[in-house]
Amino acid sequence: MNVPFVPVRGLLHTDYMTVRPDFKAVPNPYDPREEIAIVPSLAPDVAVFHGFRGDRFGNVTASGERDAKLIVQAARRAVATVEEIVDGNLAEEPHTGVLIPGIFVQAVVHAPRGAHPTACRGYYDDDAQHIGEYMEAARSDESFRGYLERYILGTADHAEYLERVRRAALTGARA
Amino acid sequence: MAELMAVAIARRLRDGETIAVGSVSPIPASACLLARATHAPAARLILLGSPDHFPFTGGMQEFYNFAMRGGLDVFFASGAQIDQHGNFNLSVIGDYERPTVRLPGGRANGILYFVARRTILFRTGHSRRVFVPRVDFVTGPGSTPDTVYRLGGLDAVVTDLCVLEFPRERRRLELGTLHPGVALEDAQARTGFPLHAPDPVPPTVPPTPEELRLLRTSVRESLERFYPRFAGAKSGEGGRRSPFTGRQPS
Repeated sequence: MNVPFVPVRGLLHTDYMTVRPDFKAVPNPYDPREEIAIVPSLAPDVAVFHGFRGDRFGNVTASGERDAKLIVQAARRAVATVEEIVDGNLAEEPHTGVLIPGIFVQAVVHAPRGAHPTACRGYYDDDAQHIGEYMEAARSDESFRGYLERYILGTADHAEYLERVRRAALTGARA
Repeated sequence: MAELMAVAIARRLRDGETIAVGSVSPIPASACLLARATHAPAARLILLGSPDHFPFTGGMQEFYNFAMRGGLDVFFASGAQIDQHGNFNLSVIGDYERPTVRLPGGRANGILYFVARRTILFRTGHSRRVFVPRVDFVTGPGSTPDTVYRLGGLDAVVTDLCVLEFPRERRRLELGTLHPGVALEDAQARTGFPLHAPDPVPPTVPPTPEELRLLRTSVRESLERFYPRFAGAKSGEGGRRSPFTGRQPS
């Protein structure tokens, strides 16, 4: 929308108003008896989200439980990773989930299991074992550096990442 | 104890109400399912994190829009800290910038505590660490001035020891009922502020055999569908929590 702020019902008299000086309490201009919280708009340079399917026109289908449609409108550019690339035009076909119009999307990347270790509804459940390993690793900076090296920095691509996850699952989670 | 808490919550729910439960909250979810199976067959349930009970297609934004326009009769939250003024903290323990514990709860509770008609807080592990004179951080304020748009607020706190009521005219937590077998002195010893209590304190009405039967059969079966991770966990609390998979409204 490119508006500078958004009014929010709530937030007033919580400590968020203290720790976030950019959240402000202002009189409602249409009813001065009321004060209302305003928060600055977010305008990311890039939004990245994971969807179900994408087509050559940039149309993407994604879960209606998530806020992909919101973030693509907030960001200047959007990149979608998807489980499947389809040949036709998703905007003209029956589909599952919500349709993110291609006009908001600058790139579609084929990345099966791209939501891992979280779930992609209709494709796979979340990977509780891997999330458990992540939580263990996140306990200290040192163990988290080990996690990053093992799965992110030390892998060439998503395929190698998934292969390491698969092997770790077979041998049991390493803390 | 989870069963008694679920029953105590269920009895506060009314037929036809629209009730939202945060992700991975098996006790209030059980209470809603129990209420639907007994006195509130027309209650509408929104279980965040469960695709079967999430009627919105526009993401959490649509859910918040629905809540802000007054769509929710009841919302549930927990509290890392709860104080006598009905403030609760689900944000941070210790200093905000360098906390001892960072908690997930600010996103929804900073809105829903204002706009749901009634919020019921639930909390196992009733102790002085939880029930403090003053919370470290106000995620949800018990009271707000009249200049603030507020459709509702705290209804009650249901714990593993008792039910604390929050009468609007006095704006403070007061002991409502004690669970069977809990003495007033025990509850007071485990609460970090003076408990205003009626004399004598009525007992929480225990579950009926029929309520227990439902909790252990149909309610449990539904719950296992919503929260498969709890399938192996006894009485619905204590399974492994995934901080990433559920949207975090509580």
